[in-house]
Amino acid sequence: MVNKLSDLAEFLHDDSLPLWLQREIENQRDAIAVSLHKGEEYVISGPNGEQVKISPKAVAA
Amino acid sequence: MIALAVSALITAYLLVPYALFRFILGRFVPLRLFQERKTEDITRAVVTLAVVYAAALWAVWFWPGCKTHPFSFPDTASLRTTDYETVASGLYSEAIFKERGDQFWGAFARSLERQGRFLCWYYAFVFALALACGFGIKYYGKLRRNKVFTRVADLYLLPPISQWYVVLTPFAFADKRTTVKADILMTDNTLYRGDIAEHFIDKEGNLSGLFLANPQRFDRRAYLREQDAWGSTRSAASFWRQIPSAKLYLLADKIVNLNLNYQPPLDTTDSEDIVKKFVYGKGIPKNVQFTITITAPKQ
Repeated sequence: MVNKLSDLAEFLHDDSLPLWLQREIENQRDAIAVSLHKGEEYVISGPNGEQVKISPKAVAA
Repeated sequence: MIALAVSALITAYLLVPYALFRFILGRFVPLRLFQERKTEDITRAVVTLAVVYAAALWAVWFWPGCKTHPFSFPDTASLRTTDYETVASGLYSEAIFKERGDQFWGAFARSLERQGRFLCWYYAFVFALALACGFGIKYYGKLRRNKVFTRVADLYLLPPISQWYVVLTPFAFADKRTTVKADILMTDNTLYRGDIAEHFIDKEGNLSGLFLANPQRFDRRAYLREQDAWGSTRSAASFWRQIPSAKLYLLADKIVNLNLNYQPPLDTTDSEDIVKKFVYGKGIPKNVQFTITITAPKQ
């Protein structure tokens, strides 16, 4: 329930990502989960050369 | 004479500072985004000015710099009382005014200097508060992580702001390059999409219309034809048609629903947290710990 404009602002931030990234994460969810389970890094590339690296904590450290 | 003096006081103490406050605030945020009823607006103005008045009064009475500047002259509490008494009596009664003559004008000049000094600081404080409010609203997206600021904003800054301004602009986002993308279904079942470029609100605070930049229309007829002919269709993305227009204006009363998506650039500080939350939201178990690193394209 959004009672204050600050709550509304917080609500708007949820999932505020480019659509291509949302779709990639949705479509590659299983592959991401498998990579993380194996302790491997997973990279998603965007249409304009963006790169989103999802690294398991052990690899990141 | 009394009526004239009261009018001058109301103008100097209420109307001018209120106009100054709105003028300064208007340099930071469009004032049309404020959607208050008249009574709420007046209450807010009176409370704001009363607080600033008290602060300015305190400063002029107790703060050394403000106590004597500008218009410095040797003053005492008893002289001040006598002066105001003389001026009030002279304004009230013409007989007293004629009787006191030079004494009245001396007291009047000193009173003007005192009031001038107070008004200088009063306006300066109003200016400073308007500046602070303007910055607070303009940089809300950046400052909202601060809990104290959020409380003050909830109490004072945000209540008069139109919810449409929050929803249809990047107001809540730290990075103002955030685009608000919308899929809009109209009453005639036409589906449009594009970036919200501008929106308009009527006097009651309702959305009256909006401009879509880079507008596209969904070719529903072709989609249905393909479905009828083949039993299935190509991906929905193939049916979006660019509208040869820089900006498309849509009337709000023809809109059935709005599907909004906020897309800040990926190089913002918030992005990594949002991606992480989104990944967890898609079913990755909470016990799987990971970090997100985003490399944004070079501008």
